[in-house]
Amino acid sequence: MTDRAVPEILLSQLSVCFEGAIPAVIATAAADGTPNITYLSRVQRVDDERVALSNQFFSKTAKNLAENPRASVLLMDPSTYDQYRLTVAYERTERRGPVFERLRADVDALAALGGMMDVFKLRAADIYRVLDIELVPSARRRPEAYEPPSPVDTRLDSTVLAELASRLARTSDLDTLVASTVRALADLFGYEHSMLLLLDEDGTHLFTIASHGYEAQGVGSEVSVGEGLIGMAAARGVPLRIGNLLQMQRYSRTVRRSFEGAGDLSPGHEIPVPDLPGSQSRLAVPALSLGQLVGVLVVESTAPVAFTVADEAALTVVASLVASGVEAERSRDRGEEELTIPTPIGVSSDAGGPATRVRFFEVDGSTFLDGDYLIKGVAGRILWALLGHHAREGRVDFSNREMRLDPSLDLPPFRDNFESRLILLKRRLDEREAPIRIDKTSRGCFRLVVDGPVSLEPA
Amino acid sequence: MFDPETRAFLESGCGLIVGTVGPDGEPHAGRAWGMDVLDLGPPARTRLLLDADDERTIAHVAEGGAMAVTATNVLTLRSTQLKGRAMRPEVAMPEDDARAERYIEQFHADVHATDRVPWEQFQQILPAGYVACTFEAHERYDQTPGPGAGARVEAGG
Repeated sequence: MTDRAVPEILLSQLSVCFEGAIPAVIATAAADGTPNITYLSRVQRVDDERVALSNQFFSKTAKNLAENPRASVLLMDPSTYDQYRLTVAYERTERRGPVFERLRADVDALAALGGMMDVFKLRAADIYRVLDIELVPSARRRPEAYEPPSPVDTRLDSTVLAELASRLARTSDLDTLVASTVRALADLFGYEHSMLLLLDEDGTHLFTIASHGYEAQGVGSEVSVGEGLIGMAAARGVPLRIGNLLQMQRYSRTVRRSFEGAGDLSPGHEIPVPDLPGSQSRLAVPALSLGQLVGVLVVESTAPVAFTVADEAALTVVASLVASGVEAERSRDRGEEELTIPTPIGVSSDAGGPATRVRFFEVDGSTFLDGDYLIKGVAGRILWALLGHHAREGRVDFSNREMRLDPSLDLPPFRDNFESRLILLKRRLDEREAPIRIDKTSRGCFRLVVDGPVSLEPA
Repeated sequence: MFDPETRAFLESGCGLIVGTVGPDGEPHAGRAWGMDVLDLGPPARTRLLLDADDERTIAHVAEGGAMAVTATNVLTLRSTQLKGRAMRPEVAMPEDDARAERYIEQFHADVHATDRVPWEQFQQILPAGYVACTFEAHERYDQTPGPGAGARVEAGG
């Protein structure tokens, strides 16, 4: 016997339960009293008295709720395995607005994992008033000895943000900016695995310009806009967060098979998980500047539900700073080139030794060094053009401006991304520890450094 | 109503969730901790182990109320919902406790294989005791996630 009152449980204390790491359960009843029990894709807290439930399919649950607006929902805390039962009453359905959009982002994230963006869509967000919350007792967790969790602190640490802003403000070029960003995310925020992707020239792909904490840097790897969590964050222009990748991938695979079986979806590829073994949590935040997508900032963790709305908020600020920095650098780069004095023609300093074979495919710019893939697209064309000048004229010093005018690069006239592609090429060569590298010499100018002979092999 | 394969599925370490309805029409969600098929039917009869702390589910069963049970394979998410009537709640026998233990072992093995949830954490949801009941299934539905979820499965499937 105890005289201790069971503490009241508030929705704000259950925020981690709404991260979707463990599927919620919902019981409803038809007008004739027949129950229905099933799992739910997503439950979200709307305010201190309401939750929103995802409605993707015209299901028995939806039919029951039209007849009988009451439901019983089981939620589980993925960090403690404490279980809660919510008694809820249906209030309304929303098909637009902030609640719908937030829930839609969650469902889109799930769809993106299975490549089902065309068919797996949120139809509506059903809003329920929460009438009661109780702890589900277990052998180990008795209500009389229970202390509710503290609400998650969603405040941003302005000191840390200020330090990051200060570091980025001190960077002098794009290369340093992207490197400083991923380093600062680890140093200041503790995000040990991060990557920054930039939008390409035609706005259809994102390419990795910098990463931190991965076995392979993956510089140059590409993601299509609209595909996977990262591509979907770019397409929608909103942050997407998943707290249990393994489970979500399993769920999306099952749904995908179901769609395939129904003939609604042709078999396709599943978006592969980036190279963090055992990744459980991922947060992809679009980097926008003046309303334009510049890239996507991504953090990952092997811990489930590693990221919360607080991380989302912090990274939104960081992504915005980075986007502004990238755009400012691009504008400055183009503007200052007008004042660039023609660069001196340097002298090639390559020494002897075995020649590095560079094989280039005109069709897509794919470039291989000694048989190993290096890069493709504009970055590949830049390298091929530079090495051509080097071979024909012995040149090593170049300016962005003259390279931009080179028709072989096939650059678009607007937002050509030249600087980004050059940095991508530089970082890719550095990652490979290639005998060819690019050094910045001054604003808008760079040097091609070639250690040893090079054999150019057009395919 | 059940073929041997369905029986094996229901008696495995599937996640078992249970929905009941009170006389006032209030639905109630709970979990079950093991199921044995007593008769393949139709109607199929099973012995279902409920959480002894889940007083409302037990009360609904005592009233002979309608029940829905969804069994889900944690690894594949293959899912089946049974609808029918539950009756005769009774204190679990030692063999019921042993059955629950076997069920929990299998259930946790699947949860650990998929989500790496350690036993120490998983124990947090285990009930303090069990109440057994008879659940008579009259209808069966495919509940595997996707657009076909909710389709009725005819007897014998």
